[in-house]
Amino acid sequence: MNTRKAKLHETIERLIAIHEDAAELRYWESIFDNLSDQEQEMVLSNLEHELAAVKEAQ
Amino acid sequence: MEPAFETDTETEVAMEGFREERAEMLQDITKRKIAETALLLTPGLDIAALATFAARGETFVGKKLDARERLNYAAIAGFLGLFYVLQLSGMEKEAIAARGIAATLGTMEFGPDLLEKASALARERMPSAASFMEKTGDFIKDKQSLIEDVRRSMIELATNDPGLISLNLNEHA
Repeated sequence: MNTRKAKLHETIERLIAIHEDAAELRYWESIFDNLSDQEQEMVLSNLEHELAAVKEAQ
Repeated sequence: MEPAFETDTETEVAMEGFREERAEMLQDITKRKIAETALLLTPGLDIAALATFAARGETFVGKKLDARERLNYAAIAGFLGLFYVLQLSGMEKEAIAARGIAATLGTMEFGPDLLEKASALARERMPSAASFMEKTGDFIKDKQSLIEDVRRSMIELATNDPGLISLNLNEHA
């Protein structure tokens, strides 16, 4: 597993733990390899920022 | 720096914003995949506008969708759009021009058979899109009610505004 995908997996697991939609996030993980580099970066950045925002709120 | 949120409600609002952004991303991604597939298999066919229009946030009854519904809507519109392009890819351009989206999507029975057919078509005609299509099909397969909404929305939009699907028969003849 490459670094970016490992980061994605970890971020998704943490978001699911705080009750984000598991089905949607598993879908993103499943199609991640089908995305371009730029699309992968955008998806990962979105999820990391969501996780940071929620953690800050808690 | 991300803003701090003091309440669960504010956190939920923030999460909704990120979901909304992902719904828009998925819409863009499926639009690009439809356009790439159409360009390779059926030059001159442009239905990306239809998929985008169908996924932009309103159903055929005009109901406003929340971010999760919009993402589901984008996945379904993308899947149906890709399937439509794949179905047309073996046809002559004149036959495509005569066959509207209503004729193709209107008779479609969404279920395991269709998922298998879509997957087989993609593997045969556009292998690079097959994996994305199979995973998207798996994601949407339990969303039957929304699939019907999207299908009817796409058919209605295409019927009312045929320009959403354009086929230039001369340029790519």
